[in-house]
Amino acid sequence: MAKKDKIDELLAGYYKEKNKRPVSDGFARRVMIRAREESVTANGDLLRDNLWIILMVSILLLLVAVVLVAKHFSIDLGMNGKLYSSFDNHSSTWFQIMAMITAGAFLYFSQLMRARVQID
Amino acid sequence: MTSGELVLDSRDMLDEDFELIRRVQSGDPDSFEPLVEKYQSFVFGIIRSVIHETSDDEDLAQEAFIQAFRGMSKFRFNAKFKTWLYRVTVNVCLNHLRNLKRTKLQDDEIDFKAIADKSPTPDRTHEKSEMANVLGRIIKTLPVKYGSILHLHYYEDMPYEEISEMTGMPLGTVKSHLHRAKEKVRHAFSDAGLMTGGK
Repeated sequence: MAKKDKIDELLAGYYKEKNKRPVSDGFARRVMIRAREESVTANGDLLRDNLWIILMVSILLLLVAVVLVAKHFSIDLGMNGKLYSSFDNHSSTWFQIMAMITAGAFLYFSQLMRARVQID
Repeated sequence: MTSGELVLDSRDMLDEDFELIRRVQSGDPDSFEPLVEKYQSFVFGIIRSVIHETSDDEDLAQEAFIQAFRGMSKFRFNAKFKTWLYRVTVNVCLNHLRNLKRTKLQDDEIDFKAIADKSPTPDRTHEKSEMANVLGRIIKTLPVKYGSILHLHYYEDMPYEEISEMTGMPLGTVKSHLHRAKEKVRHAFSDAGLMTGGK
C-alpha cells in the first residue's frame, strides 16, 4: 500500500464525514415490507400463468378417475360395452385419454420450466 | 485476535450470509432481513459516494435491496454476497443517473479553475473548512467510476486487491483510478491556492 499523504487524509476525512448520517430507523423493516409483497406477487404470477394448464390437467385426471371408477363398478355409462372393450384392448377411448394426459402434462411442465427461466 | 481467528471469523460471516441466502432461495423471505440490516450502511455508503444527493439515497438503497432480493435465485455462491450486492447497488445508481439524463463528465471536461474560483479567498483560519468545501465540489465533478472506488478505499478501508475483486476491475486500473483521482484533487487544491506544499 502506498504511503498516505495529506490528500489521503483529506479524502478519508471527507468520506467519513459524508457517511456520518446514520441509516434512518426502520429502513430494514420498510425493505422487508416491499420484499414480502414481491414474494407474494411472484408466487401469484406463477400460479396465474399456469392456471389454465393446471385446470386442464385436473379435468383430464378427473376424467380418467371417472372412467376407472365406472369400470370398477361395472357402470356402462350408456356406451353399450364400448367403454370396457376400449380398456381391454387398449384402443380408442383409453388411448385417446392417455394421449391427452401425456400432452397436457408435457405442456404443463414446459410452462413451468418457462416460468422458472423467466424468474431466473 | 490472531490472524487465524480473523480468517475464521470472516469465513463464519460468509457461511452465515450463504445460509441466509439459501433460506431465501428456498422460499423464506424473512431470512433476507438480517442481510439488509447487516449491509444497509455499506449500501448507503456506496450510493452517497456515487450519487451526491442525499434526498434520493433511501429510495435507491431500497431499490438496490429489492433488486438483490428479486435476483436472489441467480446467486450461485461463487462470490461474496457483499461483492454481489455492491454490483447491484452500483447498477441501480447508474440507472438512476441515466434516468436523470446526467452525462458523465469526462476528465478533460472538468474545469478545476472554475471550481477553485467559486470558493472564497483562502484564509488560513478557515482553510480546513474551505478545503472540505473545495473537496466536496471536486469529488462531485469526478467521473462516476471514481466515486465508488474512492469510497471503498477511504471509507471501507479496503486494500486495492479487495477493491479489484469487488468492482471486477483489474488491479492496475484500480490503482490508476485512485492515483488519478488524487492528482485531480491535488491539482484543484493548488489552483485554489489551498495547498502549497503538496505532499
